[in-house]
Amino acid sequence: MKGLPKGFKSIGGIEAERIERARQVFFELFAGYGYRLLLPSSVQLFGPCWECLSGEVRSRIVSLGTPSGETGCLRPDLTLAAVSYLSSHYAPEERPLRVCYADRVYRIPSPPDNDVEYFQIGAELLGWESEGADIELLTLLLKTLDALDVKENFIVIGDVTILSSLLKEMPESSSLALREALTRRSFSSFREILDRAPIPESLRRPLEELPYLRGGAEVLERATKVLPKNCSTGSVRNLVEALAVSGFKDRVLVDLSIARELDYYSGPVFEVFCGSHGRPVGGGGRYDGLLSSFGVLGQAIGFSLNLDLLLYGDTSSISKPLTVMSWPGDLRPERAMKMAAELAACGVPVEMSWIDQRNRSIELARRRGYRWWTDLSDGSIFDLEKNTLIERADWSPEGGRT
Amino acid sequence: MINIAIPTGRMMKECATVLGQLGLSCSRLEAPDRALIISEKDCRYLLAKPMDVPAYVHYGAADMALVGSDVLMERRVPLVELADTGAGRCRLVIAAPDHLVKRFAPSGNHLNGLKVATKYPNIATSFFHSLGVKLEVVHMHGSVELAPLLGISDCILDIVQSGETLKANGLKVIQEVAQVSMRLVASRRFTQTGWSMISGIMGALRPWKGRIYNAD
Repeated sequence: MKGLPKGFKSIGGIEAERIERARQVFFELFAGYGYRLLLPSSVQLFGPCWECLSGEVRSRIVSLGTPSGETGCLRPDLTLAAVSYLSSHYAPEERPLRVCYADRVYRIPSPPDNDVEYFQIGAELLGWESEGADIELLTLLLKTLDALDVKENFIVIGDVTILSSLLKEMPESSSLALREALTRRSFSSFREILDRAPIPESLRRPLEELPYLRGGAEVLERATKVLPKNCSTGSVRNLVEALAVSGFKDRVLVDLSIARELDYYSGPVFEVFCGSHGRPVGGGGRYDGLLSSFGVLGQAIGFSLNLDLLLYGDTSSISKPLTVMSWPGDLRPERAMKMAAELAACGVPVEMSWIDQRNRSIELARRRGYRWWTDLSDGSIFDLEKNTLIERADWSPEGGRT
Repeated sequence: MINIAIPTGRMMKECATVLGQLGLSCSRLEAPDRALIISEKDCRYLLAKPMDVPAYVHYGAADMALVGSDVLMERRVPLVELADTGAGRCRLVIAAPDHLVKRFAPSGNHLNGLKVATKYPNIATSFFHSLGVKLEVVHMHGSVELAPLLGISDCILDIVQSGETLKANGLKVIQEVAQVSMRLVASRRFTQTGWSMISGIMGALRPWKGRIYNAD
């Protein structure tokens, strides 16, 4: 596209309308549960992002120089931006804090993708110390997917503390290599490292089986037989049971080996799948450690969804605009604008058509997909679907004649 | 019905053997016609160029695939690597004409500006960068061995099985970059929704490797 660097995009037409509609649906849902809108800056300081993000995402940060000479970057992650804002704008007694956002995120694409920027919707709940926050956010996440009419969606829940507990007593080099293999999702490398690493026998079987502890809720039973006592699956169990009670049983799976690319997670984590996408379209989890790095103590949980992936292949039609193409005829522009304003004041969107010829104006209205065209000079309304003329007094935008 | 992407070309026959040993029906793969989608009793095979196979899985068109580890290294597409099938073993190497071998002697920055002809530009770049060498990659799509002979490059980075082609073109292996073999991969979605199927297939791999865990 002319004027845009590779990997960046301007979005218009029906695709833009779909994104906007999804944002509105999302905001309305979350506003109903007390979440406040956040509009974070597109540019963040490079240093804090580098410190808080993990290796794979670090290598994808789009850095730039700010006009004041600081090293900045295009916002690589909305959670960081949200936590940074909330930690410095609210007093401790105002917690818990709830924010939601729908904005662009920028990362150097990993193959085979090409887009540097994509839309994310997400929400964060910070500073609630006891039960409830995880369930609240996951329930709202599943409600969001329903509200957006996302087909074949489901979530997979795990807990990163299980792997951390298993690796705690291992030599650092083996521990890092195993974590890296699991984050890359290379089960064969994971297995190879296990075969040659000096691992206590008590940990060997749990580690060998960890990648295979996935499926329905029954996996949790198997996990209690396989995992040592210090690897609690209680958090995952609570979430699975609570979501089942809320009616989401069929859309919740368990994977106790989930290792998210962003390593700031420190408890239950989840990934979201939908449609035919081979990869997750979003995810999130608990990130108490990240919060403490911003000087805030307590629990935090959040999620984000890639809106481009969620809406990919969405063929649902955007309702035809009720806009009336308004042609001034022989009226002076200022008079025509006054008459158009009367229509607009009745809640009817108008688009002015300053074309001289009546037929060309009607043709343009058809091309726009509008149903109605009006000649402001005589007040007649033309139904472009039925090719009939209607008097203004007999007309309503939803159905024609009143 | 599982959708499985497999590479066309010289790997295809070997894939058919592996699929048979995994217990999947693949009789039509042994004598393929020009169709790029081949349906069997319990699975559908998508025949793709080797370098495109990871994308089929990533985008969800295929649930699983057989693909060389060289392709996975080059394409760097995030997939779930389930197992090393052990088939298609070869090596990814740097090879050069005899008279250039001394240039590769250890230490020094005399390799800077090296011209490397290869089908694997990403692997070549990251390998030489890890040695601190700034190189010029000549991206080729085949007959890479010709490049040093015709003065297009100083050396090549390519896969080698027996070494006969290298020898016939006056090239000598300087360094091994990686061992290569055929891997069984799956999409992240399928490892969640189709795990029981995957466990069954991986169970069939166990006799070969003797160490693939069977979830059942």
